[in-house]
Amino acid sequence: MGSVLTRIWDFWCSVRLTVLLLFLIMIDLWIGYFVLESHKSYFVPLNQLGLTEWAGTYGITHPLITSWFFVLVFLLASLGLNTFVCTTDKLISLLRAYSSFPSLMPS
Amino acid sequence: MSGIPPGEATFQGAVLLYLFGFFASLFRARRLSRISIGLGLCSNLLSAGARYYNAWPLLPLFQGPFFLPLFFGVCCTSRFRDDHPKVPLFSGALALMGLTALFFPNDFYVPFLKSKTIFSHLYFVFGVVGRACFFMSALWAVLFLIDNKNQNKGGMGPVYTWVVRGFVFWTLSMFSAEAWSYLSTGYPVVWEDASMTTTIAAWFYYACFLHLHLYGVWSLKFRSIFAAIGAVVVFTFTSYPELGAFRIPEFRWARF
Repeated sequence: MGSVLTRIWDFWCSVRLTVLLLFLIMIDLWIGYFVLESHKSYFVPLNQLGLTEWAGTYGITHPLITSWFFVLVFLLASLGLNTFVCTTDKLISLLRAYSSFPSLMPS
Repeated sequence: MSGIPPGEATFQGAVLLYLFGFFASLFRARRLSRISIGLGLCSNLLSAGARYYNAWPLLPLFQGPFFLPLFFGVCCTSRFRDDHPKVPLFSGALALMGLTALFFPNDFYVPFLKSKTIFSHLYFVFGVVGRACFFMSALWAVLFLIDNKNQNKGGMGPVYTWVVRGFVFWTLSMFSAEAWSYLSTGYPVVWEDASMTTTIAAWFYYACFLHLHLYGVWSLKFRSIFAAIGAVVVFTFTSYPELGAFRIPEFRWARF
């Protein structure tokens, strides 16, 4: 169980994954530009309706046009998780290093 | 001269001076090139000031291409001053930017009530400065690819520095856009403007470059190619939408 969790943690704590996610977000946003340019009317109600209601109406009824947006939300959430795990990992290693040098602390 | 917009005449003068400066640098007339480009920058500054003055309090949103050579030229100043051997590359890029704005002019004004905030102007200015920095980094990357046969790490220094500068200004521009959007429409995202996605895409492109550079997985050559392609990315997705249709400029101030 422990090794599975470690593997999941290591998967999300990867700079390679960060670069891949950044690249995929960039590609998705470019696709979004061309879709948005020709189908603005599908996205304008997003501000009034909110994400949940918009996804249940416009989002579901026009999947070809709105799929880039859902992909973007997924990729951004993944990037958020990746950033959280990387930051936590770094903080843990910094705290470990800090506690292993008690003699440097003022008495 | 009466009836000729000062912003137009001074910009045309600036482009002619940039072109002269470029040809002078090609023929290694460095002093003449520096004087010409310096005068061109002064003329471009006057043009930018006049355009902003005439548009005020409206935001000259699509006049970025007229401001870009000015900021880019300022970024290049040290290259012109210390007689860098590849000065024609910088002066050529400067002249090309000027010519692009001259032959593809565009103008568009957002309704005053929607741009009556300092953030709309900050978005515009930071965006143009950020773009100038990204173009500088791309030029340095091209220089690195041409010059640096041994692929010394030090050669990538200016590329990285200009990307960081551009990234900071681009981030400030994006945050200003968010604040502007919220103040003018009540929503943080304006879906009517598709170019919003490409602006964010350019940010992610350079975030990707910074990760690749700091992580150091890719070779210096690939990193410099990535930075050089950045100029194409920035031009295609942020500068190109601001350009208008091809138009031969009228040099009305030169008529007797």
